[in-house]
Amino acid sequence: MSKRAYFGVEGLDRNLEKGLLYGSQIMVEGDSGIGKTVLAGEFIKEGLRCGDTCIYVACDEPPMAMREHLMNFKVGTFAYEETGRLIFVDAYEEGESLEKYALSDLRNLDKYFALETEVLRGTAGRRVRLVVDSLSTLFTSIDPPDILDFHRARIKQLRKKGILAMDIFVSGVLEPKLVTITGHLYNFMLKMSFSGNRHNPVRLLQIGKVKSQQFVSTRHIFTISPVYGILVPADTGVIV
Amino acid sequence: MKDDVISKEIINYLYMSICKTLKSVPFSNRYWVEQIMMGPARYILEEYDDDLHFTSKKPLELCITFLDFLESKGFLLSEHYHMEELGNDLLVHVERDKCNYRKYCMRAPMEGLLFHCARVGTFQAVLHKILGKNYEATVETDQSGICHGKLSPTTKPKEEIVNRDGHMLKIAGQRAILLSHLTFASLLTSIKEHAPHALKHVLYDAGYRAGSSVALKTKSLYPDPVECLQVLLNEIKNLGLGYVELVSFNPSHGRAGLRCYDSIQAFIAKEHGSLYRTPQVNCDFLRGIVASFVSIILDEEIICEEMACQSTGGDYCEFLAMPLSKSLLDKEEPRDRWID
Repeated sequence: MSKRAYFGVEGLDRNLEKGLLYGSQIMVEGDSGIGKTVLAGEFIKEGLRCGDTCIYVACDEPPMAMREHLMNFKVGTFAYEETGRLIFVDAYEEGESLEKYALSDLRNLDKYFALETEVLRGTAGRRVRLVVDSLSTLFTSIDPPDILDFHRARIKQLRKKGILAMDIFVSGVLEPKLVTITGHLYNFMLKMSFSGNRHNPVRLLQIGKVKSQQFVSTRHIFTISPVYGILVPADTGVIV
Repeated sequence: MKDDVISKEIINYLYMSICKTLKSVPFSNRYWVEQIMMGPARYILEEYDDDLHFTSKKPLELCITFLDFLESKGFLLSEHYHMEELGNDLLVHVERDKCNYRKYCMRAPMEGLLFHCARVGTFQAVLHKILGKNYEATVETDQSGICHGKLSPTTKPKEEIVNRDGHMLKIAGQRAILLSHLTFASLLTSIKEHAPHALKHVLYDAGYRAGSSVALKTKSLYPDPVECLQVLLNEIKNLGLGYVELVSFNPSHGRAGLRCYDSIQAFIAKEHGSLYRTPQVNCDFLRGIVASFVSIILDEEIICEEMACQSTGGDYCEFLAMPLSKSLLDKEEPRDRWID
C-alpha cells in the first residue's frame, strides 16, 4: 500500500515531488466560486481510484450536490457508497437530513467532533481521505479560542489515525489572524484566488506551507474544465 | 460392415478434431461450428441433386426425404429417427446409441469442446437450401439416452461477431486490427505524455465507444439481457482484453458485478510500469467497454467503476456497473431474473 498520495490534479501533483503523506492535513482557502469544491472532487476521485475510503463532510450544500458533481465527472458514486468506500456526512441540513451520518446541531463543535470520530471509527484499518467543505462554515458563530481548542484536538486525532485530511476555508469568513494561526497546524496550505481584472479574471493557486507566519509557496494559473476538472497548464503555470 | 464402422468413427474424430482446433482459435466460433455441421449436407444437396427428389415443401417431409436418401446410401436407418411437427417447430427424436455421431456428441461436452449436433445441422442445411429459411436448433438428451432435437424457424441474423472478409478483419461488421501489447502500451504512453489530464477520460470514452458498436450488434442477435451480456463478455476474451466473469447481474436494477482476470491494462502496468504516480486501478478502457455493454443492453445510462485492480496486487480486477440515476436503484423488482 502506497504511503504517498496526490491531489489528482496533474499539473499540481507534478510539483509535489514526494506527494502527500497519509496523516497529513491540507488547508484549502479560497474565494467563493474559485473551484474549491471542484478541487475537493478531484481529491476524492483520486482517493477512490487509489483504494482509499473517502469521507466528504458537506457544510455549505447538501451532500447530493457533491454526488451530482462527481456524477457529472462520470464517477459512479453509488458503487463506492454501497461498498463503504465513499461516505457522506451531512453538516448542512440538520434535522431534515436523510443521510446516515448527519450533524444535528451546526453550532456545536463538540457534536461535530463526536460525529467525525464516530465516522472515522467505522473506517479503522483503512486508508482514509477526509474532506470538510467548508470547515469555516462550522466556525462562523464560534469564539476564536474555542475554534483553536477544537482544531488542535481534532488535528491531533487525525494525525494519530493517519487520516489525509483536506479542510476547506472560504476566504473572508474568519478573521485573517485566526486563519494564519490555524494555518500553522496544517502540513500544506493551498490558496485559491481570482486575479487579473473583472473582464478577464484569472484563477490562481498557491501551494506551500506557513513558516514563521509567512506563506512560502509556488503559484500556478489554473482553469476549470467541465470534462477534466482543474487544469494546471504544464508550461505556463508556475509563477514564483 | 467393418469398414463402415471405422469410417463413421473417423467422421466423429474429424468433428472432434475440428472443434478442438476451434477452441484454440480466437473468437467465439459458435457460428462456425454450426456452419461446419451444416456443411456436409450442403455438399450432398449439390452433388446428389439428381438423386434427391423433394416432392413437398413441408419441412417435416423434406427432412424425412433426406433421411430416406441417406438410408438408401447405407449411412443410417431412417426408422431410428422419429420426427414430428409442433406448430412451426420440427421435433426429432433418436436413441443416441443409434446415432452415427454419438461419439462426438458424448465426448465433446466432456472435453469442453464446442458442440453442435451434426444431425440437426443436416436438417438446418436442407431446410435452408430448399425453403430459403434459417432454423435454429437445440438438442437435449434425457436420462434414458434419447436425444430430443428441436428446429425452430428464426429471422435472427446469424454471423460471427469477429469475421474475416477477404484480407480484412472485421468486428461487428466494422474493419478491425489486432494490436500487440507493445503497440497498445505505446499508445497509452503517448496519450500520457501529451495529455496526462485526459488519459483516464480518453481510455474510458474510447472503451465506451468501442463497446457500443459491438453491443448494438450483439443485442440484435441476443435479445435476452443475460445471454447478450455473457456473449459480449466472451467477446472481451476473444479480443484479448482479459477474461471477464459475470459475478452478479440484476437487469431490473441496472447493476452488474464482474471480475476480470489478466486484463490487458493490468498486464501493461506490470510489464511497462504504471501510468500513474501511485498504485491505483488501471483498467479504464475495459471499464468503458463494460459500461457501454450494460448501458446498451438495458437502455439506461450505466457507469462502471473498477473497485480493485490486479495491477495493485489483487487476483483479479473487480468491476461494479450501476446506473448514474438513483431512481433505478430504488426500484422494487422481483429477483427471479437476477444472477446473484
